[in-house]
Amino acid sequence: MPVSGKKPGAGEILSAIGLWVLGFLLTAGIMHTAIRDPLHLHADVRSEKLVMLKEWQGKVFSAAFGSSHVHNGFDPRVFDRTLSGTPLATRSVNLAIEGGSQSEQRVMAIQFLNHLKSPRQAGAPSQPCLVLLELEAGANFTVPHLVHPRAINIYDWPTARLVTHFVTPGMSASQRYGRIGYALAAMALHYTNIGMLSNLIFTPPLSQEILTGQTQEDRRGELEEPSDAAGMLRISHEIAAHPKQTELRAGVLTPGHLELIDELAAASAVPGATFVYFVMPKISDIGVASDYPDHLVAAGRQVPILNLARPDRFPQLYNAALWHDEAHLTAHGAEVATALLAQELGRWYAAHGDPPPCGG
Amino acid sequence: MLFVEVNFFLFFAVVLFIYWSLRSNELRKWFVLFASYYFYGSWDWRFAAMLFLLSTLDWFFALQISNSGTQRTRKVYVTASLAMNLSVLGFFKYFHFFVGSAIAAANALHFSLDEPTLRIILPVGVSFFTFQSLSYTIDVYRREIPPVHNLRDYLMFSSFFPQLVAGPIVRPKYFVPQMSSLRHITLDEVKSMLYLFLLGYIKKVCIADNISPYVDQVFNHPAAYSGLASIIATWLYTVQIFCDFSGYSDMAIAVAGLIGYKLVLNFNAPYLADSIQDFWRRWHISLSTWIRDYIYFSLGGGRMKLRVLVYRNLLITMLAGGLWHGAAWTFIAWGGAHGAAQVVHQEFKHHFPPTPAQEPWRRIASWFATLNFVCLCWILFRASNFATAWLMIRRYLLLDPGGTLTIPIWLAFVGPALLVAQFIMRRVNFGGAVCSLALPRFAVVYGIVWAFALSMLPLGYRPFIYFQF
Repeated sequence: MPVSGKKPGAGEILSAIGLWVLGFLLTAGIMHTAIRDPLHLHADVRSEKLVMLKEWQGKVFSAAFGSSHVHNGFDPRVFDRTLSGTPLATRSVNLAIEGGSQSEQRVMAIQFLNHLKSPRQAGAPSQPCLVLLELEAGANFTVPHLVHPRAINIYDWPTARLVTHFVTPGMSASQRYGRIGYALAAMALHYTNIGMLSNLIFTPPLSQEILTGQTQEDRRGELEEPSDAAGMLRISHEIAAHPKQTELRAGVLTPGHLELIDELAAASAVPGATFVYFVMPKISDIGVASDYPDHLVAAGRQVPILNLARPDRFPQLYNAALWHDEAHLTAHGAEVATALLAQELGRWYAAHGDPPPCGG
Repeated sequence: MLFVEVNFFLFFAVVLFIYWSLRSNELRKWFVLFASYYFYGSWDWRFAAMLFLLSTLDWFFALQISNSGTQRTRKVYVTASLAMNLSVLGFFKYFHFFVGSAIAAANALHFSLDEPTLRIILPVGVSFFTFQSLSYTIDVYRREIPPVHNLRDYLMFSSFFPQLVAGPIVRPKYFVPQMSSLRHITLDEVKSMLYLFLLGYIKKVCIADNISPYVDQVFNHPAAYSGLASIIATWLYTVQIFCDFSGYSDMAIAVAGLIGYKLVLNFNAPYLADSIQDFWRRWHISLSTWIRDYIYFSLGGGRMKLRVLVYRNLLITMLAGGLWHGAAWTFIAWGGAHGAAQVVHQEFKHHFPPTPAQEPWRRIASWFATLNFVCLCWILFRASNFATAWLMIRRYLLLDPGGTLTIPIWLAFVGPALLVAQFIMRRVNFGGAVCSLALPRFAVVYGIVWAFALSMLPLGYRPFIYFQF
């Protein structure tokens, strides 16, 4: 840049840039240590879910986590009812969040497990503590959500490190580097406290609509979606247009899926938490569906993989009347899918032996 | 592409690098022209095409005005320019307003009319660049400036990206001479422009965007909120609109300054004004001087024989200023209220001129009255309709207790605290002190303040309020 008058040399300019970065990073570092728990800064739906979780501590022992597919596809009432009278009988909640990702699923599950009480401690009947994790949740949030408290507040080093392991050599380069790049960018924003001070000072109020809507009629966190005639007609046409024979492709399991279980097992306040991966259906499965193994082995235990996204095995789910849109179930659809999930879980444990009792 | 977005930071970094790498003024001007159309086209390429067409025609009209031998021909071309710019402005900005108002009037007279179905997208900054273009042809017509002979130069003036979409409105007599020589910038200027950009960013992002949710909450559901909440929301909007618009102007001036061009000051602590006239000398200065020079003076200004005619000119000018802001009766009422207040103030001063002994306390009382009047008028500016505005005005005047919902009380102190801060910063010349720091110290302080500024980023960006105008 031409400068008349006093003209600084290149070295002076470079050192000024270096000092600027130094001043920025030092201040950001000091501020970061002063902001004690960024997870609990306000972040849309997650804040409301954390409030619900606090309310349920000691009263529930199982939870489903994941994205919107689970948020409106998992009905805790149906899940509990289906498993009642079996060795898997439990009291569950829905802690999934629309727009969620593996990174958010991780922090929510850690929160749940950190504060988990064993049924005996809580004076409840003996039961398993089921942690149901969505296998196909995206590794990160969407790109427009990078500069958003939902992402920034949780991408500390452990989260970012885990997310970088949600890749496999078989993935395309853009997907691999995109996932890693997103995690690193979000981590940089996290440690430079983007938006955190404003979040502390100008904290938005909690949404009473969410708090009421997802807890009334004992919904326990489920978001109920209605069906509409136009959507149903559109989905009927899509189902009819798909080939009768579903193509099966090998589902992608990454090292991150195993590490997540290891990390959650270590975070649990009580021994004996039981982990389950599951896959929610979507209309596009009729064309191509993912085929997963029966289970994976992590933290020295077998973790079942319950795949509902198999039109060949669960044709009853691919009925337009059950769908709010192409990827999300209606309240009735959630009832059908959750009942199937509970039955699959019961079947799996019947074949592999009951899970350990929660609390040892 | 807003000044506060990452996209803009990347765009501007590339612009700065290439611009200062170019050695010739001609190349630099081509490059700024290209960058400006890229910037504007990032909203919608059709807007850029329209801007190009309008600018080219105004350039042509001005040349014809200058070359014409007769006054009649000159008048024809300046009228053509006026008609073209005002038609574009009228069509894009006021079509629905005038048609809607005509239908409402017809319905009141028991005639039934249907509104034509026409979806008009408002080009970003149309009010700014049409006014800027108009000032060029009128100035050439008035023989105040010579025409710009080079089309490239005129296109650059009319599309200069730092101020294209929300001002300050640049006058050709101020800007065009700057284009004739290779621009230079001193180290002190670089520091003061970096300071100004950060100041603008803090005003817009850290203050305006963080308080806007509270303002929206109350103004969107005024019946539900208490009287106190309504008063606080009005104060907050007073802060928000100043920080939003003056923050944008600061950034625009800084961006232009970093490529060596000077833009005019657009705000000068307007809430410290001690009369409405004084307020308009400090608020959106580039617009208020524009409407003064091209509307008020054209009507005869203050050189009328009767005071009542001066007041008529004042009212017409302020009503036009109100209408410029938006196609709604609330904006016209806002302009009218400011015009009426100026008339009342001038009459008061005429009948009760202050004595030297009265001067200090009258100034303080006048400042307080002006500030509260401006706050009241912002209600008209912000409210979506007269019913909401009337309800909020009654609350502000303590005539209506309001509903039960509240907003945090501490927000009431945001406005006064910022006003005191602004007063002190001006008194101690805070900006000058920061910019006079040696480069290494300046760099460290700049880094520290950026760290705070970014931590104050709100949940989501909100577009600049003045973009809609």
